Amino acid sequence: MSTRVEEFARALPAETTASVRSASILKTDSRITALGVSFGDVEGARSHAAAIKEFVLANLGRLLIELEANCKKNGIHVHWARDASEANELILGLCKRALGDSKVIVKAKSMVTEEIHLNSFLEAQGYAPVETDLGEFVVQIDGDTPSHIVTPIIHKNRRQIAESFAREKIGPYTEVPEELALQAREHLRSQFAAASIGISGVNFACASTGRLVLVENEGNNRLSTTVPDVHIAVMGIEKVVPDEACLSLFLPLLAGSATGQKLTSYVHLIKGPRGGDESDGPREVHLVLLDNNRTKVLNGHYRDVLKCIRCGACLNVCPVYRQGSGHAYGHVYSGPIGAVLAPAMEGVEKLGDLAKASTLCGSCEEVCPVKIPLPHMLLQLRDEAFRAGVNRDGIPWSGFVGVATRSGIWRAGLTLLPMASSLPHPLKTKWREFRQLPQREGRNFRRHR
Amino acid sequence: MNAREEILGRIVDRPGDAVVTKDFSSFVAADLWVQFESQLVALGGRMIDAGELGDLSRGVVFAEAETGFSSSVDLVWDAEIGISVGSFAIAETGSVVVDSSPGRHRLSTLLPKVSVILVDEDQIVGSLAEGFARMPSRNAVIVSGTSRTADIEGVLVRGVHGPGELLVHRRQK
Repeated sequence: MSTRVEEFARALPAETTASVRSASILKTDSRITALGVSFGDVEGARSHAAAIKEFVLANLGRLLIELEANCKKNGIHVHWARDASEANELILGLCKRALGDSKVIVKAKSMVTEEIHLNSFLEAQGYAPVETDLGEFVVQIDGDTPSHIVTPIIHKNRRQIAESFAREKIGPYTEVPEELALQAREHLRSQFAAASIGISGVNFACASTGRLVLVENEGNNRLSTTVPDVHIAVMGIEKVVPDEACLSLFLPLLAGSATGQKLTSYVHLIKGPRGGDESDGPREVHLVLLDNNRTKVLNGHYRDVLKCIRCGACLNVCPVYRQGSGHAYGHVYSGPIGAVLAPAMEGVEKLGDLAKASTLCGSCEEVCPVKIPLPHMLLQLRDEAFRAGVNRDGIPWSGFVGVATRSGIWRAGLTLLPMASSLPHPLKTKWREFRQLPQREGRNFRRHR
Repeated sequence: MNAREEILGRIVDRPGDAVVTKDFSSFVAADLWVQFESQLVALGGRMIDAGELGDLSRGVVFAEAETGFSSSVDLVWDAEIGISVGSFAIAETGSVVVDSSPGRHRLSTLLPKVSVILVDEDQIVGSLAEGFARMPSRNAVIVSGTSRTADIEGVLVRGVHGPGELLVHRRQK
């Protein structure tokens, strides 16, 4: 296993591992039930979703141009950003223009803004982005990072959350989840009312209609994209889908795989800014189309990871994730998908060791709603990382390789090794004071010529 | 070269036939309102009759004009109950689609702790796929149950930022 991930997992408090484990197991179970209820043929649904995503990747250029044209028709301003810093500067420019004295920006949960580290960038510029999703809010007041792409505080228990709320004076100390949620509601209402910019991600962008589709359960996403005068939506270019008909497949697949629901509480279909006959909604809507190495991934071996719809099912089912939490990976994207996506985007030389943070048990591919061949990719990454000089182990293994790749020495070893067990050894004598070793059966398991 | 040209320049399309979305849903249509109600209840909502609707309308209410009720507060922010009009219901998922037609408010189904949505009895479809086939082309939201979170130890909490109660009234013509 990756030393970095393994060391982190070993140092993790038992309390954290317990939180991550129990929540992951719960979500894995509810996923199976939900998908079975939604679909007559879950396998067929997954294969079909994968085929649609394959079509998207094969026609990405055309679909993005179509999306851009239809968004503009709907009154959405479309921007393109090559990388994180270009996206951040672009968003900063929009903030400067739209924000007067108010420095408050409300944010709906979005992985892509985590990827470009938008919050710390805006904070350095004197702005106050406020995370409004309950989990992300806790992450922000703790100065922490999300440990799961769907449930960011999977690593925290109610006592830890209660302590954070009391410390930040959100409300009186309580460990009751209902009361904590209510405190967050009251606290964040004033932020929503004060903010003139709302920033969100995008789950699906429909090329044929130019509508942006956002899913959520709490309502903070709707508030962030409806109340402020300006809404900025940030999306990775791979999130485009051909039409809205495919949403009847993708939405239940995403909700089922992520949280065990048929649909999320809210599916927001954003057409554009407030029309002349509409009573509320933002005056301006901006869409930032972000590359940030996605085109590099598209043209490489790991192209299929761009099909990911960020459901987190592969994290929940992964034995390494369950043991180490998302933080062990040291990257915004964790779990099996992160172990491929992160090095594919940022380079094998830098993050190739993540490929070893896997037991290759294959569970991630089994649960993936778009059938991304993650185990195969992890193997390929290991190979690539090894060739690039990453993941090379120390002397003990080179010794083993020296023996194992020379057939003469190997065979001699196979013959000699069983004899070694009959040699006396002080440790063995001590052990035998209380136990009996089984007798050798006399057959040689590995001898074949 | 600007960002747009550079990004599009890195993408090489391999055009093929479009994939037409097939319906994999397990839904079998029967009595749509009965199916809708059982899904709604599973999501923490419930159906209410005209009597209960009348009682609720006398509270601290923000009501859309189309509902026939009058608001007791000027701002939806101050309301405890929001009374809104839904475009149509989806039986398979127990959802109500609300859109931004004139006179409707996106926030009336979101800010108050209790959300009441009126749906005309002939405005219901069976499956989610049928729902998308007639989705309004405006800004719209598919509402499936109450606002909720399971962020704290996976414990289900209703009513985080949005309503903790969702009441649907089937309006007779």
